[in-house]
Amino acid sequence: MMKWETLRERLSRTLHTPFTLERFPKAEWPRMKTEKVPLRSYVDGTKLYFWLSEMETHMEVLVTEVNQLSDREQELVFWILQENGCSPQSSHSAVSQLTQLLTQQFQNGDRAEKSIPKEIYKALHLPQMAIPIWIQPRSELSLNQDELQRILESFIEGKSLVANVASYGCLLVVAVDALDLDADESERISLMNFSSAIQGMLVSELGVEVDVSAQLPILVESQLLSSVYALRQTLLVGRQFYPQSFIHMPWDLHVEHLLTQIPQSFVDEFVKSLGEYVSNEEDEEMQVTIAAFFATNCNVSETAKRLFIHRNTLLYRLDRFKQETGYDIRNFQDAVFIRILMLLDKVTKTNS
Amino acid sequence: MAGVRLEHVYKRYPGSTEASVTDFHLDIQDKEFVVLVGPSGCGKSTTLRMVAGLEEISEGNLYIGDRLVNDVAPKDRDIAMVFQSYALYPHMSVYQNMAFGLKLRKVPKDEIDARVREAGKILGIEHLLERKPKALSGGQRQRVALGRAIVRQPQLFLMDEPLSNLDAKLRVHMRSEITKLAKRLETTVIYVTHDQTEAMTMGDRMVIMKDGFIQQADTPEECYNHPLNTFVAGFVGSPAMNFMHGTLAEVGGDVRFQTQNVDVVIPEGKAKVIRDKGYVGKEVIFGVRPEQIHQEPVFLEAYPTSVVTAHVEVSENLGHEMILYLDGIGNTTMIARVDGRAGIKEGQTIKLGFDMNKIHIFDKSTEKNIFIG
Repeated sequence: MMKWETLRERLSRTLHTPFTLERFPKAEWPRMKTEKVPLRSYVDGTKLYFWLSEMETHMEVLVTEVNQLSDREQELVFWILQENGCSPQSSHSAVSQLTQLLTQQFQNGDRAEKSIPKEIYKALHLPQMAIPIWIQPRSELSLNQDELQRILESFIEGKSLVANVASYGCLLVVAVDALDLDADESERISLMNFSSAIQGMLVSELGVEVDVSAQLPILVESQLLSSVYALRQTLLVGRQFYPQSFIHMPWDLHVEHLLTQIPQSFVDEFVKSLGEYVSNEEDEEMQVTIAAFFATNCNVSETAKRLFIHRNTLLYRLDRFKQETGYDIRNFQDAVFIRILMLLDKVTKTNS
Repeated sequence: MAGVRLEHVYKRYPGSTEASVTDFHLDIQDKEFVVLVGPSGCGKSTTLRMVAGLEEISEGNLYIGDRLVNDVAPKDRDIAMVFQSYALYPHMSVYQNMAFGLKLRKVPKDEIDARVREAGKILGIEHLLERKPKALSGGQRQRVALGRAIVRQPQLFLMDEPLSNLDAKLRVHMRSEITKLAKRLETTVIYVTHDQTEAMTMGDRMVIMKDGFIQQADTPEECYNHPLNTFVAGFVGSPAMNFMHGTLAEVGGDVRFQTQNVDVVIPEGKAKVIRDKGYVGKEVIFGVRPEQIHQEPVFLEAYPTSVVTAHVEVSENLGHEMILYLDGIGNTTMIARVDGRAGIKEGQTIKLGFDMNKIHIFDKSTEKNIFIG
């Protein structure tokens, strides 16, 4: 316990809050008996316990009164403890090993085309086929990792695995039957609805906004690591092109994915030579109109409805666009060109 | 339940030179239904998100009840939110959807059951509790989303365009349902919409915003009858108020508003204000609502100094009323709303009279209503 004394003293002094060092019965620490990652902190009555280290029969914990710390201060303590090597992630459960694999993968920028090691896969007790969902908070500060994990576990009602990958985000592996797929609905729509539900639920229950991307069922053992890599990429691309949206599905972002592969210098040249009107920020009304037109599959009535304008007003705007640019986006070829031009323009703005 | 106080609140995003919300100062009373309304990008949703705790407040204070909540986590603010994308939990029944939040908060089972059934009763969905969301209609789903918020018994409800996903007919229906519900629950509501009709019909008070600034915060009646500026005047009311640029002149003891084909006498009460504030001889903006333009012969005879002649470009007969698009008055197309039995046809030249007691005059440079303040 001596090695934690300096840390305890500094935290007490900095946060003006008394902390004590104690031993906590190992078996009573939440999730110690399961394969899931034990909690980083634990509230019992008025006391708040922070995990320091795991001994043979007990845990070393840092204790304070629960009402002494705000959520942000708690997050700060977690971060300080993590920096000092105190994290339940270091336990040798299968989930924490998977978490470590993912963390390494993210740190190395590795595409991870490999399978999960057999012994870890077996210990995870996952079905052969499952749905991976990647959840990434918009603001790291506001996230209480343990609470996120607890809520997600309740939401899926045990038919899943939740792996919290530190500051990167959270992986949910859901059994296919948990989605309660509707025969009348495609898997993609079901998955989209489920992802939206997760996003909405976390806003309501935790006050945290997250981006979510999900994949159709995969073979867990051989495809999970590469799927997580792909989902993170999808989420990054989705955020780059559609920052207002929280749900990013791989099948909706094929073109955007391709466009991110084009060298920026080429994009700059291209947009500059052709896209002066499209990139004109001052004509926001036209930008919004065109975006809505594309979002409704170039359907005039639907676009007018979505923009709360009269159909004739929309037609007038489209005609004006044609007059000013020479492109009629009711024509398929022109629509494709303008769509790509607008996406490239978005990438340029995001990158700059 | 609780009131909400926003004290000189600002929202600035990093890298942006202008604030998205500027000096938002408002006291919302306990049990009040306040609607934030304005065009896209006016800052209404950002303000709501600051109250919810989803956005940090850059400057200023936010109180819910007596508690300063600037640094209180969203989940600890005791609020319930209903958003446009009300995404129900597809793998749970209606009952489970409503009970989920309470279960997380470890509310005893009996109490959860009582609250869910009570909410189901209030919303008229008690017979649907065992159904899954996919078996519900749009309106029923919206009710479940409201139910999820109600069971939490929060101090404050926040609603961000909750009716936008519904079709027009259902939206009108749900609008009155939500108003009735708020009154029944005696709860404080902050409601965001871009739809001025929704704001007018639902709110005890409406807060009209533009470019991050509050333009006017008042009852719908006050905003309609006494708009502070041209923006509010044009935003509230449908069809929107007509505006004409022209000059105020003193002629034979009367103050008259004059512009192309218009020469009308301002009533004495308003004329006194114009003289006192030194607007005689100045260019101003004249505002008159479509419903305050009359074609009835009896009106034209009674108020001959308010009469103008106009050419009917388009006439839309909606049965109970006619919407006339007129030219030849001032420098713009004007709209008049007249009785559906008026029988006016396109291409006709007609005489119309302004209800001069209800007209508005705005300063040309500040665009403020000169009769207020």
